[in-house]
Amino acid sequence: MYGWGVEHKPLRLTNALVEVAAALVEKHEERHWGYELAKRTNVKPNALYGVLTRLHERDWLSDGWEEVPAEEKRPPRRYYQVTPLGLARLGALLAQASQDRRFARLYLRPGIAQ
Amino acid sequence: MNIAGMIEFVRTHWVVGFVCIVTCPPMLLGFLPTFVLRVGLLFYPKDHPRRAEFIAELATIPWRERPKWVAGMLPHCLFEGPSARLRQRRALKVEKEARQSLSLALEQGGSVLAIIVTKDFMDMQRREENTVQKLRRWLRRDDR
Repeated sequence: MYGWGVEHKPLRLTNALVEVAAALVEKHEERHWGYELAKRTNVKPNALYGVLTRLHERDWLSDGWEEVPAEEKRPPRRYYQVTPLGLARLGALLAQASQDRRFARLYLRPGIAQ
Repeated sequence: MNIAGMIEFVRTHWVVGFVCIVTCPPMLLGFLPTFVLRVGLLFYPKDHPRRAEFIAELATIPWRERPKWVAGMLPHCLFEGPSARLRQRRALKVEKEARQSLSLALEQGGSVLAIIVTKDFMDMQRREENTVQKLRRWLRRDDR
């Protein structure tokens, strides 16, 4: 009766998802920002935020708002951080992707976690 | 007016040309991206975190990259914004129905039933769909 979970469809493996997952797992203890992730992964921003939303909905990522020092006159950014559940699931996802020929190109590229 | 004509115009009316040259870069790199992004963000519901998120991200992006980044974000706003609005509207509808069901349960079943339904109701606020149907089914089963 209690704890009716939201059922998500299984994630479809895409280049953007695999690249973002690799970047997140690579620095899983750090906070990530959308633009910074887009720069690191070369994923287009419109695809990136879709991926982030899907991961966040599944509780694989937690989010928050940074604290901006008073001298920096800019609004606080939203950051994303990998949760323990997310780390496990993203690791499994990357393992699955590493078996897939479609993503062989991504794993050869430097900067993407093996 | 062709390009040569425009150049000639700027050459002869140098004050206008100077103003154009001075104001164009800030317009193209500063005002326009922010304006376009804000217009795109209007598709999102008012309290959606994306609104603040994208504005804050834009503030940290180098000036030169802003027009390209905003151009890339617009389709995302166009697709995600209306669906977020729709989802929010649906959630509000479900919440309203859940409230009605809660008051109905309070009238019908007494405190134990009310506590159970209240717990479910708290769950419902996070979860949107199928909840009212489940609650109704459960209430119907209780009536039998």
